[in-house]
Amino acid sequence: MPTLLAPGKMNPQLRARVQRAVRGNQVGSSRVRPRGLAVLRLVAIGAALAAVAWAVVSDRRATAELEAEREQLLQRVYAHSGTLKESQLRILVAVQRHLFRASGKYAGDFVGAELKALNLDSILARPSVYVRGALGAFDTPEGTKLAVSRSANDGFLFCLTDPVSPTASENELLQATYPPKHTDGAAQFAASHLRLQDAVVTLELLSESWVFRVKRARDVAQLHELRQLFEGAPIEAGIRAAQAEVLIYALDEPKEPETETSFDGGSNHAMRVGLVNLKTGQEVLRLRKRVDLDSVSELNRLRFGGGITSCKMGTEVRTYIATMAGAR
Amino acid sequence: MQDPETIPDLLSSRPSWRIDFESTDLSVVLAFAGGASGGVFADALARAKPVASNWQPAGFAEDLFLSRFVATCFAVRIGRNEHPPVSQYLARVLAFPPTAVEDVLYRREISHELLATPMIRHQAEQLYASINRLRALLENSSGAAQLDASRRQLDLLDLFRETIELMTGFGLARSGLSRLAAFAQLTKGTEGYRSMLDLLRFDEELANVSFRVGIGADGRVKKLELLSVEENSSNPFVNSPWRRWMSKLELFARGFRFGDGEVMARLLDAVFEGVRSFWPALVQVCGDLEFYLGALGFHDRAKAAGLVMCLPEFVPVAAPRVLKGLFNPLLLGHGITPVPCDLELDRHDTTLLVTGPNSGGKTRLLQSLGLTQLLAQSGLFIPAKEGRLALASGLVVSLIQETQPDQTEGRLGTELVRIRKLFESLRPGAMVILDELCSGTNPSEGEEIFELVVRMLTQLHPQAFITTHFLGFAARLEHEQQIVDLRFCQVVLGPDQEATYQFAPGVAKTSLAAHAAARLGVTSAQLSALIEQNVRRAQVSTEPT
Repeated sequence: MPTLLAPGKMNPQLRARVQRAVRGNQVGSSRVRPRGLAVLRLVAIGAALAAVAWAVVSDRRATAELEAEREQLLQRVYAHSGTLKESQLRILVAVQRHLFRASGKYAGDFVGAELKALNLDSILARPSVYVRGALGAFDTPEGTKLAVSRSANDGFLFCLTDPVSPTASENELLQATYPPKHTDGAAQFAASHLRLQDAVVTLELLSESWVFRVKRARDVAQLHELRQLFEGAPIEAGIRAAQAEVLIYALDEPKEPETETSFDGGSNHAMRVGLVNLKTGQEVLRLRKRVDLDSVSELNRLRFGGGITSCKMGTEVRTYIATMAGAR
Repeated sequence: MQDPETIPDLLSSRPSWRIDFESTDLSVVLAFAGGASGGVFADALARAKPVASNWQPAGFAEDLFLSRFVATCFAVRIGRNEHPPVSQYLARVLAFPPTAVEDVLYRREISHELLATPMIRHQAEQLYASINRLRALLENSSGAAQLDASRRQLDLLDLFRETIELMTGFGLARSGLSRLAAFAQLTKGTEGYRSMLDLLRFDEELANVSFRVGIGADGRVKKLELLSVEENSSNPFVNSPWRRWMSKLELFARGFRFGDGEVMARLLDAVFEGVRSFWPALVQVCGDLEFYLGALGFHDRAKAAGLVMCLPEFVPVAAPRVLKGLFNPLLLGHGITPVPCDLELDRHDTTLLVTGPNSGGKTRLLQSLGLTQLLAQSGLFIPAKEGRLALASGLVVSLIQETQPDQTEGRLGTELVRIRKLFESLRPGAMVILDELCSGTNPSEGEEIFELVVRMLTQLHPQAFITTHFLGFAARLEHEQQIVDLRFCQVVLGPDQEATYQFAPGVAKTSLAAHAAARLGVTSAQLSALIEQNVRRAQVSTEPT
């Protein structure tokens, strides 16, 4: 059997002896080759190689699974983000910019040409997002995100989009403020008036930083966690929210000093409301009105004062717009 | 096994293996591998076969103190170092002088050349020393633990190379020593030897690195420049670094250890396998060289004592026996400077009756004659400045010995048993040495047996030497001259009747027993004085205080 100890330049006789020496069966040699040891070593080396091969194959398989999982998740991200325009991906920036401007020194009531040309309902029939928050809550991106996350549809939006009579009683206002949630009307409302918070969450999951996190995931478990986050997010609703055409906002100025506050946050304060066409970036409506908690009966003021005054504000806005349209 | 004609046999004209080649080869291989220690050479030489010889050591070795003679006289001295002989082997070689005359002459030529040519002797001593170094390392005689087995084996191979090179130097020898050169040439011509040289060069010179060193004005090294690195790639053992690493891995997979040492161990095995068949010869050569160098050492020792030794001239039996300046080598071995004597007889096949006083040197003469014949027929120097001897077909020696504890017969009985054995084994023409024949019984009966033995001996034409104190009987035989070839010599006495340790023809007139008694304090007056002294001492010890 050839051996590396005997190169070709060796004399053939010497080479033959070297080959016998490495076989370990030289006559008279005390160093009898431990054949058993060689077998054991070969078995051990074989086992080690098999273990290494198994580890390599397993690693490659795990890597392939990881990459497939990653690719699948990324494809879903790309698929969703591909449905949005650049402006839609930056809707939160646009919202913040408008609200930041609206939070500044009040520029006076304004009814835009679009509203003048169309009626309010046709504008509100477009997909819209509604945001309500305190004045100054939208000064920074973080503050905006926080305010958006706390913002929910309320009596103002309900009564703005589904008007009640200006002479409606408090009970009627109260019912309009807290409409039943599982009706066709509620579903239709929800389909039209979207939560900006959904857009915030979804756009976060479609952002470059999220893609980077997916790409950096080191193992399947980490990737599964990211996928679960993605699958648990309201992606469809978020995308629709990002595609909203109208921004409806309500900014509460600080309450008047030494006045009471109801359990649902109502108080005497000025409120800035407005509509913005997100596609054009043009303001559609800008109003500033006083919310009068004192006008609510003592029976409902403390518990539902905030909701009733909000609904009353929505009704007043509609009345104001109707009055402006009548004047034209 | 090598071709017999190539065996470097220094003891026989027809070369042969006297050591057991197979067992010696196995012992050497085991010792080389480190599996045996001590005794490889001594054991192999102790079991060596003697050359063909008619001599029976049982008949003379003990009486001539052969082992003691070898141990005390045959030490090899090289410079200041003295190598004790493997006495068992040398005693065996001496105890079996070759029967073939050509073997005796073959040995004489070697002895003569070693003595006559100092350069050859120097080479032989160097060779013997080299083999002994190899022997010491092979047998681990120092007892030191060998941490690096491969290093030891490389050193052994280097010593083997040195030994073979020293053997090459005998190319100018005219005696049988030239066989060493022939053996060396044979060894060097083999692939195995060339591979061994390659391995030794691989060990010593894997690569050459050349530097240029620049020395500044202040004597300091200012610049060190690497000029070249040349790997000895023509050497068959030199591999690329990658191949060397893979070789280690291969050995590991084959069940060996992983390391450079294991690679070298395998190469050493392979290389040694190529030259191992030449190693047993070194064992035999070592013993043979010791035989000659030991004899030369004895020669030197005698010379230092003012004694002369020579290679004797072999003559026919009918020619005169001449020994001039003959001395007793056993005395020299014990540090006593012996007194040489001359002995001349008209022919060899005679029976010489030696008479003389006690402590006159008769027994010493017999020892000298026996050892002289032994050394002469072994091809070595004899303890005499001149000698003409005839070859003897055997040697039987019977000297007066102390009574042994297991002796079943009395002194006479024991002597008679030995005489019986003498005639059982005695070959015609053998040398016979008998000391004080039949001294263990009363003279009248002893003389009868004495005469019988002498008469019977003459029928075998021996070279016989017999001492006796039967002076009257000896004188009668000399006067009657009825026994053919009977010769007589006596110890020569000085002016004061003291022994001169010289010998002259004739029969002594007295044994000078009274002289011996006086010398040893056994006269009437001396014994009376001792008795009186003892009586006085006894009286003093019994008187009341």
